[in-house]
Amino acid sequence: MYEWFVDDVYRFVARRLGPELAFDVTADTFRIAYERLSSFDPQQGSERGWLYGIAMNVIRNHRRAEHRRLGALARIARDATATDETFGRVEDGIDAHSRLARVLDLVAELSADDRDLLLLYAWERCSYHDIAASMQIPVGTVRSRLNRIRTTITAHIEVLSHE
Amino acid sequence: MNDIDLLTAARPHVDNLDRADKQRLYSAITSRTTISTDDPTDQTSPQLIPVVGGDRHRTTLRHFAIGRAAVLIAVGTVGIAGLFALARDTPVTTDQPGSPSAPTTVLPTTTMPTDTLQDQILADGVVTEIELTAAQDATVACIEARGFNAYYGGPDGDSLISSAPEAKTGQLNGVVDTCEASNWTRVSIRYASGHLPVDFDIEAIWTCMRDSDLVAASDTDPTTAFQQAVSINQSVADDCIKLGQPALTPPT
Repeated sequence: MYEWFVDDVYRFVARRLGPELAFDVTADTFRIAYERLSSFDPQQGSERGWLYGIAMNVIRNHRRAEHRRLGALARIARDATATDETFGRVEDGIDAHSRLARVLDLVAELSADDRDLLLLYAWERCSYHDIAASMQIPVGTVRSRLNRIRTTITAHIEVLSHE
Repeated sequence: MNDIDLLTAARPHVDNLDRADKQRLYSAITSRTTISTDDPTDQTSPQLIPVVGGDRHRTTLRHFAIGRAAVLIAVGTVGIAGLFALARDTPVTTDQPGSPSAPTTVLPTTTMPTDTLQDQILADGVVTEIELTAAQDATVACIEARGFNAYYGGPDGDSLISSAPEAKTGQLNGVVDTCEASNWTRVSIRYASGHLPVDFDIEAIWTCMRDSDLVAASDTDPTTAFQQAVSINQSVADDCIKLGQPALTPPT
């Protein structure tokens, strides 16, 4: 299990907390997973989703670090040029970077549950089913909550744009 | 592009861990033996059973181990004849899922005495997908009947994962070996012999194993060397097999 999923878990944590903390948090995640292996039920979802669920709970012990990282990412986005690929390729250029900075600010302000759900979907490309398994909520709830988050973020940005 | 797509497009890039970091990380995990009382996994289940000693996984012949069987055949010593012998010398027919030879009934795996299921499956010289799954189910049932946990999982859903309660950790390997021998091994070898990959690059596999110090340039018996490579580091050996047989890599 370690060999299969360590890269996925490490990348998930590093995106959320940065590489400095990712090593220790990944180690904690797998240590807990080994200790609790018998609680894993393959009928409820994949191992990857189960590990993400454990990692998310460990990440919550580092909430300040995550806020700092999201803030730093937002600053980088504001300073980025259209060709800067720090965040990957954002094809719409400077306006997109500016909007991205606002989105990252809003992600930092989401509740922990909403942030977990959104970043599992947007950054880890998890399916609704895997997100549901990770967060131990129904698939329908994932869908409706994601829709609400999407609407909330867009509405906030529209308000900010008109200020 | 909506805001979530924008967030997705801009996700921070993070490199994979290199092998040295993975080893260091694994050491860090295994050296921390204190079980935390602040349980981050405790989301809903109130009855978590602590497991010490980690898990054990064994990849089945449907994916990577089919590559191992193919490599053994390619290097020549075991050969098809050897595999047939292991499968009790019954003539092998290459079957395909859904072929006319495939049985349409599900076999009663959990109630059959040891080895009876394998004998029944092998009686017609054909191992279908349904029969292979029945052998997997019987293996899991055998392990669970002895008080251990087991399921088929992993990235391809096809690897046997087993774990033991703390008091029985030392017995796990023996139980898994026994249950696989009784319910799975002969069936899986027969299945593999009917589903050999045809386009692997044995030279690439061999070069990779040499470069990874799993085999020595002076090795003269390729089969023995290959078996040693798997026993030295199965993970790296499997990586080498994947390198020479990309079709074995499960879809991501």
